[in-house]
Amino acid sequence: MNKDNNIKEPEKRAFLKGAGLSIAALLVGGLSMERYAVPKGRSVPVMDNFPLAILEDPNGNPITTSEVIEFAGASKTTKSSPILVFNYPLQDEPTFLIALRGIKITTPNTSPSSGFAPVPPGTDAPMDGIIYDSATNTSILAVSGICQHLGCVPPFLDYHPGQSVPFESQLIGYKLDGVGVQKWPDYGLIYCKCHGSQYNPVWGGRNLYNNGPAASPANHSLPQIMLATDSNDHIYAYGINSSNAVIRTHLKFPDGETHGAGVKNEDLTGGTAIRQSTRTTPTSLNKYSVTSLESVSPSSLDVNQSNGSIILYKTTVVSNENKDGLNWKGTF
Amino acid sequence: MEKTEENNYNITDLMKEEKDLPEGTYKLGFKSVTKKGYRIDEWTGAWVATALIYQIVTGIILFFYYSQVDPYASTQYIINNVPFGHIILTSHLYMAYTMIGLVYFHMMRQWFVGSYKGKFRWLQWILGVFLFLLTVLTAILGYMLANTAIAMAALHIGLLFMQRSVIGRILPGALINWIEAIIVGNYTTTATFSHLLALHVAVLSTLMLAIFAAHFMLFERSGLASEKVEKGKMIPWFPTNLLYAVFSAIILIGIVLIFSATFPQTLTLAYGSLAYGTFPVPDWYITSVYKLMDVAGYGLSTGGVPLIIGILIFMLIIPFIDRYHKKGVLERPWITAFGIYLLIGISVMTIWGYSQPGLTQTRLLTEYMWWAITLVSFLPVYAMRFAKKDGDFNGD
Ligand code: FES
Repeated sequence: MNKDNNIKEPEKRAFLKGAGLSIAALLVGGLSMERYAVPKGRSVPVMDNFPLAILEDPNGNPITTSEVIEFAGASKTTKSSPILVFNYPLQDEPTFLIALRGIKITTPNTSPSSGFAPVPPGTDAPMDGIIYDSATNTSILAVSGICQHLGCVPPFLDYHPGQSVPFESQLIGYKLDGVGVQKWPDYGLIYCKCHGSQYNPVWGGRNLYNNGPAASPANHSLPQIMLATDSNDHIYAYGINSSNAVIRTHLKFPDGETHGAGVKNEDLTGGTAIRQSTRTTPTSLNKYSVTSLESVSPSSLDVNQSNGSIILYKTTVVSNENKDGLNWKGTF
Repeated sequence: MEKTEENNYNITDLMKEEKDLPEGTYKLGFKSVTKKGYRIDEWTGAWVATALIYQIVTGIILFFYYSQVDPYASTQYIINNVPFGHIILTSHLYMAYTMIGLVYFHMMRQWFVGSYKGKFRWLQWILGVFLFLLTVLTAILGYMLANTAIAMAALHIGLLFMQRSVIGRILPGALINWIEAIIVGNYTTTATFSHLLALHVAVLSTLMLAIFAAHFMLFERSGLASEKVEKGKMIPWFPTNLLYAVFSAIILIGIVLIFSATFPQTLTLAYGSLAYGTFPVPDWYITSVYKLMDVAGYGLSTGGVPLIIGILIFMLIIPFIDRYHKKGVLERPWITAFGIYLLIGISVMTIWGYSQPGLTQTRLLTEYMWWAITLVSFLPVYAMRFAKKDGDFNGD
């Protein structure tokens, strides 16, 4: 035995035993901390299904398609357009509202294989869930504002139209008058400044863009939120395009990401519901499906209901600026 | 009859050396050092401790007015309406910056000097690495508390990072879910900020304080690594050491306060605000990690995350793998070179992160960069060592 060590062997053993037992007890007790840290509301859906929500301006008036087109419509020559964002399907889940003039966003005529192949829009009917205004040849599109890479949100993820190449994309090698891959697309891109993911709004719900000088770190398109109008030209959001990935912050663990048909059933957990509207639910809605413009009754839309009747929600569309007498400036 | 003991009203006697301690007493002392112990590079730890105490005091003051129900507005209220609120908040931020900078300085100084050697210093070093981690984590949480746009982007990134990187892929899903629940609860805004606040002001900071206490007592136990006890040359702990500590603390706090008054903090955009031209650059101490993630196209799983975990593990075991028998910078060449490698690497990544945010680099460019840094850090150290040996040899 070490002569400096004047603790006797049995005592040492007793001490070690005692210490070991206390630590074991602590660990077992600590396990119940798990219950404490995980609140009851966690992993419990806030609502059963995606909400039917009317889009309002910050003053509480429903917005119309003509206002959106006039206010925010971007064409190939646009230098900057107001950013429009609303929360959907839950609070704190920003979604972009983008209007593109002079283009009809159609369903791609090929299916995206790896996500890297360009998917040129076909010449057919407008894509599911787009609002298409044939008088002005304008498409209105809603896509999630949560980046599919690591979840950056506006204003770090934002839409830069055809004549505005953000500084970060210039660093990658995009040029306004470039050729081939370097060309900043005609209608610009939704660009994430966090790590450089690129999404092409012209491709509607299949917007992941890897045709530029650098690939996107994200590997899914921004989920497309479905839009419809009523007879007053008011805009409603009614779900998510199921050919797409889930909203990035909805990834369910441990099962990971789902996309495809499962998207509709993706849990709406972790958040707060958007507010309910006191308006009456419209009796019919106009929506573009892959084939044509349809008039449907809201009850056929597979949206959140309570006792068989549809609950109408509301969500506020906000902008970064006030323009032409429209006071939409606000925070989402 | 036994008489009662006399009161001693001479408080300064409290500070006198205690000579006749009963047998079996366990001693935790404040040690005296020689004059050499007052050299400025021996005091890096004292400054970090000063920063920690300052953060606790100002943190408590801020805690009176911060509200997790309305984080951004309450932060604005502190800035605009609370007396001295702006300077307290700013100095809390700047002292956090200072603290992280000093932690790096303190750590790298011990690294180069090799003062993790001998007695219980290995344990002190390991606790130090944990303190370093806790400091950075607490800072990140604090930065999220204001609910700015960048803070929420960082929160999303942090959570998705745990899920999508190797960490999430290796650890069982239930564990990740649990960690996530600790950070954000059920993810409603209120739950998120209650959790972040609790972690920032109570959990991590208490842990930090406790580990710091152990770290400090281990230091008092093992003494300064670089000096020997010399009879007759020891300067009594009281009052010299105490006053020295207090004065250096006052100077540090003074500097931070001057900076806070000169450059008061401006609160960045609130979460939910929309504006063109905002840059997603995180706070400087995490910029290098942020840049590592998008460098090299190696992605999260094969690039940044394993690299960072590797570096941390290396730091933890460094007292055991440093087998050099001599002290001194050139006597432990590869340890020194690796320290320089880390310092250059971190600085390059930080500057790169600021100048080219959100830009994925090609693999080739990144490889050139790492090899260049390796060369720059290893070659001079070995060359200087060779030159020194050569010089010593010729001199003999
Ligand atoms: S979060 Fe958008 S690219 Fe990383």
